[in-house]
Amino acid sequence: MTRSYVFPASFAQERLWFLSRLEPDIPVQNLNVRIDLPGEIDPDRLRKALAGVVERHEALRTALVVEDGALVQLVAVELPVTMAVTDLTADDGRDGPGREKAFDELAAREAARPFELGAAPLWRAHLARVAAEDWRLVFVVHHAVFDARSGINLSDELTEHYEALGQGRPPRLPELPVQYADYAVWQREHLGGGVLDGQLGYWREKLDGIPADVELPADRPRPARRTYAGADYHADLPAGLAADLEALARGRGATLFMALLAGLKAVLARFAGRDDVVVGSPVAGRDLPEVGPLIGMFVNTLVLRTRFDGDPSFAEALERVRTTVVDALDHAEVPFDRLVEALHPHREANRPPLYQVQFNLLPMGGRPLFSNGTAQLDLSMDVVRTGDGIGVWVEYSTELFEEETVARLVTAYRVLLEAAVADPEARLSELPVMTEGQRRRLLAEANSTAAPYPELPLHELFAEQARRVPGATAVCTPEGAELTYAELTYAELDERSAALARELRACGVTDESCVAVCLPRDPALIVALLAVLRAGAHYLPLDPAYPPERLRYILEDSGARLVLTHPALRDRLPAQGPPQLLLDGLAPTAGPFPDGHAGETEPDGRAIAREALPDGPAGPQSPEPAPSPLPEVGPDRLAYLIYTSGSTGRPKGVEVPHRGVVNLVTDVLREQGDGDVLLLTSLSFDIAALEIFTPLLSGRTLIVAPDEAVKTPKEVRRAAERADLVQLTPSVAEMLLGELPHGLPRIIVGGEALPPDLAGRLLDVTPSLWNYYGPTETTVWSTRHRVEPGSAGIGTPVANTQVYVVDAALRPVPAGVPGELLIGGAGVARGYHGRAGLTAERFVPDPFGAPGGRLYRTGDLVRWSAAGVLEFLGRLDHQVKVRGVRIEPDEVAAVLAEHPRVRRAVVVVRDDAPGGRGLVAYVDWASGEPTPDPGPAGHAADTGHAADTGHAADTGHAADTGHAEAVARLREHLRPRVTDAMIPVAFVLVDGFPMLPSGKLDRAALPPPAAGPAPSFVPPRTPMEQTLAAVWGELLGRERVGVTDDFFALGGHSLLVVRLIGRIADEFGVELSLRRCFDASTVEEQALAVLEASLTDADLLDLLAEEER
Amino acid sequence: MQDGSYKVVVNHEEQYSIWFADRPVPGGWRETGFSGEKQQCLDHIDQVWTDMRPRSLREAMGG
Repeated sequence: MTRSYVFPASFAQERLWFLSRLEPDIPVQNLNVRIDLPGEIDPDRLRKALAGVVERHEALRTALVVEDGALVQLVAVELPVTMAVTDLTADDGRDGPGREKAFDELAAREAARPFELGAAPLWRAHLARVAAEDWRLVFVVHHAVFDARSGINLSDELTEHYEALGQGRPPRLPELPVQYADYAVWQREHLGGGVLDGQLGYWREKLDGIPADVELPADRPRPARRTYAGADYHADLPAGLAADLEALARGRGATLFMALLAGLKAVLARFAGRDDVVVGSPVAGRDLPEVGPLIGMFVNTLVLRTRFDGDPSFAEALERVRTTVVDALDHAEVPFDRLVEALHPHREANRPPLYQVQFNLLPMGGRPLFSNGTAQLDLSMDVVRTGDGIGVWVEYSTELFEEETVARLVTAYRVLLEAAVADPEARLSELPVMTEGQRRRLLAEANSTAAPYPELPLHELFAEQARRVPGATAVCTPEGAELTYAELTYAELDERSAALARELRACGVTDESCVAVCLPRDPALIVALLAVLRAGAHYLPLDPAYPPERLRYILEDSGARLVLTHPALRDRLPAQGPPQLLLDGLAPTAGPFPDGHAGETEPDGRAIAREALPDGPAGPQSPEPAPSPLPEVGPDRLAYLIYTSGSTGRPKGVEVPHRGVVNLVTDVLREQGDGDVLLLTSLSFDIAALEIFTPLLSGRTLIVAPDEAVKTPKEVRRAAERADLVQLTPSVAEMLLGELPHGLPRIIVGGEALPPDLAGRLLDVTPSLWNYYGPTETTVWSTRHRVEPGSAGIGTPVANTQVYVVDAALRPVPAGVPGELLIGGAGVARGYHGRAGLTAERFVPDPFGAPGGRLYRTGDLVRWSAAGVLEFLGRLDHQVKVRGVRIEPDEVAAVLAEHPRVRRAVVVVRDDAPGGRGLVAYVDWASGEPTPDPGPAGHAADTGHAADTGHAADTGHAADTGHAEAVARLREHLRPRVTDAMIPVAFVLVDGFPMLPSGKLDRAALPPPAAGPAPSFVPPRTPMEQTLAAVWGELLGRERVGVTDDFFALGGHSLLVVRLIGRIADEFGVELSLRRCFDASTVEEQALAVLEASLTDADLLDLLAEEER
Repeated sequence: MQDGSYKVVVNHEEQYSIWFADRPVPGGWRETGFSGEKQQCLDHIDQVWTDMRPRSLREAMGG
């Protein structure tokens, strides 16, 4: 047994030991050094040289163990030194590249093995001969005993020892008056004397309110549990840049390091869309000259926080970074882990605390480290100044990033630094983060969508078809539907709509008049719409299901000249309002329609006869003998006025010209071909225009599903059987999925985000599934995506449409970075009816495209994917921050929907969530066994629901499974899949979701969550909880500990966890792993963990047997 | 757009909008001379932009 000495561990060792114990199987704390040796090497002499180094440096003979609840260094007085040797040239079959590959594999194998920290040495060496005079030493060492400077010292000493051995002389090396253990002792004494407290005060203030996450846009969401999978990326920056930056920095009293850091922070600020940027940076920690030549872990990490508020110039940003760095260096002695303990930020197992991005400027000419496929942080950038430029190495988490994303970031770094050097007075928001090529691809190439479309209004294009195929069926209703006219040919539709148009003109409708249309969904509706357009007017759809107040408001706000309605619907309309023209003439008893008798048969005189109109002609007394000519209508005249609900305030009317609809229909026909189309959507939802005009502009048939279709799925099935194209919202698709005929040629979904599982089920129904996206303000749809299995996104712009993803300053953001979507082109609406100011706010000057153009600001958050497809991320105004972390509610809903018993889940942000603004989940929960088909019957706005906040008892939800249990299962389902902050504070079980007439989810009608008791003190309930709470109280210095209190929130830290594990072992005779203890961070969770751990296999068998009885 | 200073701009179709006061106006737009806080600009536009038809349409319709 070799003699050992015991010393206290340094603070850095405590942190690294803790992290290693947390993930004992992941070699993320290994430093992997490659040393290229000159000339021919004598392996035995090199081993002796290495032994010489080990003899000189205690760190290389050190192990770390816990003694009496404290971590100590166990330094062996002597240690046998072994070094593996492999001659890769021995195998003659290998050529040069083969030997390189073999070396890489050898190095990777060594680097991939974790160290057991309780046994020295915490390093291993492997010498490889790759070719004659090409020897390389692979030295893999745990970070707890080594750092970057140690690498230089090792390399220098090894060479000197080797040469001295060859010359038979003692090595010429500096004296080592102290050893690492001395430093550790000194550090504790030094910091104990008030230095720590003084410096901590600075950091508490400086890091107050620090962002929880750097929020660098990632390719994948942060997983619930880190695997530390990582990779390296390397790029070289141009030679002149380093010199220019250094000159820029020097001229402002700063350093190259500060200038490089300012550049990185500026890029992070732009990519993350925030002005508070935190980056970690290591400092050597070797200020004492005696420790210079030592091998050991001296590095500390500084948390460098800089605020770029007020959009400073680069020069100003550099000054702020300079101040940040200088101040930090003045307080650099606080060990990082002490900082974490002092600030105790909310710990999440999947997020590095305090900072996620690191920056370092290495002093050496090269970087001898190689990757072992791990990454400690999201992103760690090492910059090395070389003879001919700047080398940039980025170690990144492959859990979050693709290589090309990192490459884009590094490119942005170069582009921004170059621009900053050229013009240091440019504001950060003005500095480019894309190359000219990238910019051109996003702004121009992705938007080169020019394609011809007719400069004619919709009804002219319909009339062309009527001339071409007069006998073809234009409109029909499904067989069996009890409607008067089952079919209209093109000729009939043409005649009837022309006649009604004249009627409308006679009633005083003129150019640009607004005509409200409140009619049941049947062929007469189509006659009416075409008639309105042919009369030179535009239609305003009125859904009779709207609340009376809304109908009244819309009629008044629109200034509608006339209402076209049906006797059966008149009662729904406000008594005061524009004149009504009753379209009852379609009834066979009322005679042939529409030869001037519409409205006349109305008996009660309450209305509406057209003679009531002020400037109409005299009415039936003066029937026009010859058809009067209908007005000429250009494509910029309005086709319809549609009211949409804003998230706040009154509904607003969007004025949509013919041009956009014609362009879209032309594009759909070009992309998808013609066919018979089902009219399923309510006219009050603008997308119905696509359903109506796509067949009518191509000589095909519009199949009108009856109004109640959505409530009578059999009708839908009958109607859809004839259709080539069906368009629906995901909400409606979810309900009608079972009724859609298999082999339906095409389906368009849109209006809401398309859940991936629904996309999969729709692809079982149709070979051609299209996801469309677009706001009413840019005419029905603006982007489209052909959905393939596993592919997501809203695709690329439709014809003659431009899309731009921009930041808050309306500057384009790079691919992969979320931004607001702006849309320009043929579909841009005229504006909001009667609301010039609102129009000016939402329709802004186009700085990218044709001069004088306008772009509509969608308020939607999107990004360009690597594949060049737009991805919809949510609404800007639905974003919520929980504990400082940006949360996307739809992401949580998608994970909930993966649970087999969740039929559908919706997650929203509510101000009335328990504890204030937070996430509330609404879940359609299948009680009992999962049954995939709920049927549409239960879906209505007024069905019962039950609410729960996770604390309340069963509220009596009519389900065989208790409500509380369902909520518990949902939480259990979420916990391993999403971050803590993404778990909703309340769950509401619903029997279906309220829908708007448009077929979209009615968010406003979702019930409020029941108020639950605020989390408060819960006393221990079992002897085990009592014991645990007492142990906690003792360790944490607290008199009272509740079973739901969190260990870390009460001030617990890594070393205390270690002591806690020891105390648990004493009390209960079981040893919990560090990981388990870290996860189970409340008393009640820990009690469960102890119970689990104390069950023997025999106990488990007993339990199982009991279960079976 | 963020809060801050804006200016009222107009294009060849006499459609109004707002733009950042400290940035050059995009091509095809000109400044009207009015600038101020965002809401002031929007209120001003509510006053002056009374016919929202594009100019070319207005002229074609003889309005």
